[in-house]
Amino acid sequence: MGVRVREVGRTYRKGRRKNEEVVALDGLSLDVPSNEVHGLLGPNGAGKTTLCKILSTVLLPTSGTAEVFGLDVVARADDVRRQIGIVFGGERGLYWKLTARQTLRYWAALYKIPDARAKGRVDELLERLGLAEKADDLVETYSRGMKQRLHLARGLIGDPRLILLDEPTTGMDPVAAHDFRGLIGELRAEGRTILITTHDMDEAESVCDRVTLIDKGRVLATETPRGLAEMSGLQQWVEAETSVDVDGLPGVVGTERRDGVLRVRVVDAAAARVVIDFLLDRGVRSVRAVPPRLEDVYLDLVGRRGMGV
Amino acid sequence: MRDQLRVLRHGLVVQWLLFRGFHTWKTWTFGWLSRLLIQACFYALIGRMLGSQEQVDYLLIGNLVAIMAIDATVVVLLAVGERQSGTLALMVAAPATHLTVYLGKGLVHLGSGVAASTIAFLTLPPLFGVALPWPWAGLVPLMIFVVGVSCYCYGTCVAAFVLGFPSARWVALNLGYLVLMTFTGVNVPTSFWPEWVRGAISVLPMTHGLAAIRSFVDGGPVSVVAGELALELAVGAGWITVAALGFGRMVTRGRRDGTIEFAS
Ligand SMILES: Nc1ncnc2c1ncn2[C@@H]1O[C@H](COP(=O)(O)OP(=O)(O)O)[C@@H](O)[C@H]1O
Ligand SMILES: [Mg+2]
Repeated sequence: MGVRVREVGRTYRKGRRKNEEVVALDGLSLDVPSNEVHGLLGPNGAGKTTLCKILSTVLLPTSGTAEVFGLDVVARADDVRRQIGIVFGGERGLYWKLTARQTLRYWAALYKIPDARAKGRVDELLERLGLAEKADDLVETYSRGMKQRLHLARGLIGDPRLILLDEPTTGMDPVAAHDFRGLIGELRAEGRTILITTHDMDEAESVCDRVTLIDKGRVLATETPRGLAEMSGLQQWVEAETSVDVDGLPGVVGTERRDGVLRVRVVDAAAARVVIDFLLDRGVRSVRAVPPRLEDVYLDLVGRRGMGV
Repeated sequence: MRDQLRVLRHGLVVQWLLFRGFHTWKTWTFGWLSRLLIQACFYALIGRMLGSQEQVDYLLIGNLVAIMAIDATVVVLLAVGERQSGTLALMVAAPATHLTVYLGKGLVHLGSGVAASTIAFLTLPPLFGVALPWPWAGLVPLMIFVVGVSCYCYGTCVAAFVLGFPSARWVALNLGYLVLMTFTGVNVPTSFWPEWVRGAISVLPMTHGLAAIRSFVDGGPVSVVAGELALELAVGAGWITVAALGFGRMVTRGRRDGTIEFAS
């Protein structure tokens, strides 16, 4: 097992006199098998970063246990640190007055890599992340996307078996984000385990083997993106460019119109078939069935829970 | 051990590069060094106003060496700098020992301090008519280096404290420095203080090293000079031990309180 989290709780003390208690994780359990790309999804404040911090040994859990490759993150923190790489989004976490090469050489030393091996590894990572050309320019001259790639290179310097990515694509442009997805695929092919938190449902859907939805420090569901969509019992959508009225048809739950596109929500695939046939019979082209997307599931689960409280 | 030395070396290199990004030799000379020299001159002038060459000798030697203490306590700010650049969590999560990284980085400031103090030692005494036993006085920079090492151990200990209480950094920096300036015999002989204070003073860095330098410059016996220097080193070893424990504790404290932030 790559990551094994059992009933982990974490509270923070807040307020002027440290007397306010914030529950960030509330008995959270999670298993990530080795070599899985696992997405951690949830709204702001759900506890994603808190979990990443606990797994990366910079935060102690208040209760429960967490293991990385069978090593307890509290009792065996030193051993855990050798196994993990951390990447977070944003511009901080870099020394702006160093070059990419200097940055990576420094962290290589902190990951106890002998100089001779570090040199080769740094060159390889610079190449791999497309930083080779600017390797000797100061970080402060880098674009946001380049800083992000340097973060990634830094996270990989110790040849980690588990990579923790906390919102790694915030601020990445679409091209960079696309390359990033390719990189995740490569890292998995190398046998690494990846835990990635993100806001971006499309990203999660395309890179993750499984995702866990969390909210208020608890797990709502863990599934494959596809399985989650099916399991959710969410209705499908039918989309068509038409003004034909389908409200009366069986299995139709609701309709909405946006920019000349009709979106029909139906209870299941059979109902979708009925609507599609109905529209095709009336000469409407460009009709398609759209399965529920991870985003729909997410909104449904998080939204529904929100209303229940 | 080899891992530790490598970390130390790379910490030094990186801090040197960052230092270079901050200072050019011009800004170091005219911004930093000149300020330190002026401070030493200021005290020597007070000695002159007091009217005796003996006072001038005492104050100038004391303040030359004390220049070292300023740089050595600047390492306190390294702890805060790491938080500000968002690298603290990355450092804690890396396999290397945090203390080793800090020690490596601090070496740059130790070097800066030894350089400043030595330049002061070579340039200011002639201006104030302070006689030195040349060529033997050439050994004084080595003694300054010994003082520097123990001040730097002490500074690292204060840095450990600041790591846990970042909002106290300026107080800690100034207090750390002022304690040395006040008690270790820079401007006022340690004999001025009551017996019970002197006990505490003897475990402060600089006390013994400065005594050694004063004795050496006055032509005191070699055994006294060597003894005081040995004590100075022992004091440094004590402080570095406390610093090592302190770093461990403060990192644990940060992990418990949740103050080791990811950069976001
Ligand atoms: N250092 C901290 N002190 C106090 N509260 C915190 C701290 N870090 C996080 N929290 C709180 O814990 C909860 C979870 O935060 P976080 O793990 O950052 O969520 P996410 O990464 O999912 O947005 C939030 O309510 C947040 O305000
Ligand atoms: Mg977060």
